[in-house]
Amino acid sequence: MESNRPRYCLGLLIMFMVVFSLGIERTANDYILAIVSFTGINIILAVSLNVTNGFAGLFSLGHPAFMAIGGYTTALLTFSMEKKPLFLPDLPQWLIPVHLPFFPALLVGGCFAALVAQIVGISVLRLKGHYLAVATMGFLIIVQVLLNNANSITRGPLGLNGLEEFTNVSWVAGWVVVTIYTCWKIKFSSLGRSMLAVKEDSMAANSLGVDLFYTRNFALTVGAFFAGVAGGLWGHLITAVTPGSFSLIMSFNIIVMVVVGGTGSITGSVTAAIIFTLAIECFRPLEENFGIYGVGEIVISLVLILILIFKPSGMFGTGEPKFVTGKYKQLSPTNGK
Amino acid sequence: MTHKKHLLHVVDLVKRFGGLVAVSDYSLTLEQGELVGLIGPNGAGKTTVFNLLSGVLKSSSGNFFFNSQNITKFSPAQTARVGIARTFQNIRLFEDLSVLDNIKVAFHMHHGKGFLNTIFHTKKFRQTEKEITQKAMEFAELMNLTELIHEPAKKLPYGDQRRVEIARALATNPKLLLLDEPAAGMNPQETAELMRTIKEIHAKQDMTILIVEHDMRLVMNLCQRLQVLNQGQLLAQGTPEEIQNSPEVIKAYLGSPKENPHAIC
Repeated sequence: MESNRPRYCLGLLIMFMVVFSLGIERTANDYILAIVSFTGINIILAVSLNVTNGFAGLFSLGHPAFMAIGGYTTALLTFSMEKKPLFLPDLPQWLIPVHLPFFPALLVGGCFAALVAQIVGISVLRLKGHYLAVATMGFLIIVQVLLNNANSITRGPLGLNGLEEFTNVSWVAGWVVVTIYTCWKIKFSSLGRSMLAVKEDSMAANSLGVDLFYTRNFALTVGAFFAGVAGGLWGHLITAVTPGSFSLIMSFNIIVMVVVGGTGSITGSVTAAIIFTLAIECFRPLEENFGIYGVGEIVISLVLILILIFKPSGMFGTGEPKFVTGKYKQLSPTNGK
Repeated sequence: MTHKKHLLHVVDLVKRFGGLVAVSDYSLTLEQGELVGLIGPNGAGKTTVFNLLSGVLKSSSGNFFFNSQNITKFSPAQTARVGIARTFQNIRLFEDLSVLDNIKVAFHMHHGKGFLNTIFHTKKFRQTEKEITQKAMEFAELMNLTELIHEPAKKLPYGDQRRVEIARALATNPKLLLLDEPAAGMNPQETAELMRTIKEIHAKQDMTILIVEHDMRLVMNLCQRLQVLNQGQLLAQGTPEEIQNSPEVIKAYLGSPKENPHAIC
């Protein structure tokens, strides 16, 4: 009774990603490549926030905090050995010889973010709704303050710069596939059903034996892992991580993607992430040529307001579109722009 | 202790909300395979008893034992795990999920938790998912929901939603089923159908059922034993005939002629 369509779509997505990333890396200029990479990172961020926010219904504003944790961890692990004494003279002894290649560093960054999410979850997940949103916002601010003041490790407001430019379209494309696959698998399994159940009616879910805390914490952790990885990719794309980058504005942007795409819909998050990243880039020449800065932000905010008024469930609602779970198909044509 | 042999043994359960005593000194003994009704006027504390037994509320004092295990302090999830399932007075379905998915959620606590199995799509994962789907279909069939399984729960009419809730509760594989006003909002025909279904579940699966209900005809026909609650206190218990003829019960429902001559409603 289960359709094989998702499997074909996954194959299609992988093939498309391979061809696309190889093709574009040969042909396009650096500007295009950067935009494509940002789009991919935004997809990872939106889809992973969708697990926390869309599946389990935890309105978290703390996504950039996990991104920052992952980003800084990865940056420290890959930081070149020659520059370390110069840039970070006060680095704790045990951290000086620690050095990892890019991929393991990304994994460690993601896992560290996930670990922090577990610990934060213990206290924060007792709260619900608005209170949870405020608490996660507080967590984001705490992380920012820590990054700003832990000079010996993070260089404070200066941030870690001069990172090597490891991130390219292939890396991002690979992680996009992994993120989408994982979140898709979770959604269409017992784990995902229990998350959706907790979101819809926590008391009923609990009475059916679903452990609320475990389920919520798991959703937060999965989201945090991919946010951490995205942070690592992001840092090595712009070759710097600063505390200011992981701001409330960023969490606003990610949430807009999730809400506009449809809370709970993976297809929606992917589509919205693509549209938003490209829209902002499209507005940039307009802003620079005519000196009307901020048009992109205004348009995006307007879109959010209009969506909330006319289609509060977002472009795709909670589900995946009907062309039988054709999420992967949906991705290919839109991403090909 | 004497609670050894009983399925459920409730001893002097008390629940206070601030100064209000919602349930006082409630006791109940259920044997395996019994079908017992809990009735009483509005605000008598019936739903509070259910909320206590299912772990949604914590008791102020008193204990209850399930298969001689003290489960007084258990959370709803733990209570579900030892084998007590419930339905809710105001239906609580997962509205955006399909009927089938609603039922499938009930299997989560026993199956399908493995994260790595899920991610790597292992044989175990595929088998579990297949099993869950199969069993969920069986429960849907039991409650006559087969045609509706792919509908979102919120689109169903009231009576069907009630049946989804019962199917979902049964799918947790309980030893004791708590039904909170299962016939509320149903028309007589639906109620009769529901009565048949409950009887069937009771007979076929040897399920122990505790039922709160306002529909007197349903309760009197269905239950072997009744308890009457009034203002949080156990007023009477016995067979349906005994209850119908008990002067205290008539007084509680209709008011005594002296105190309140116009309260017949």
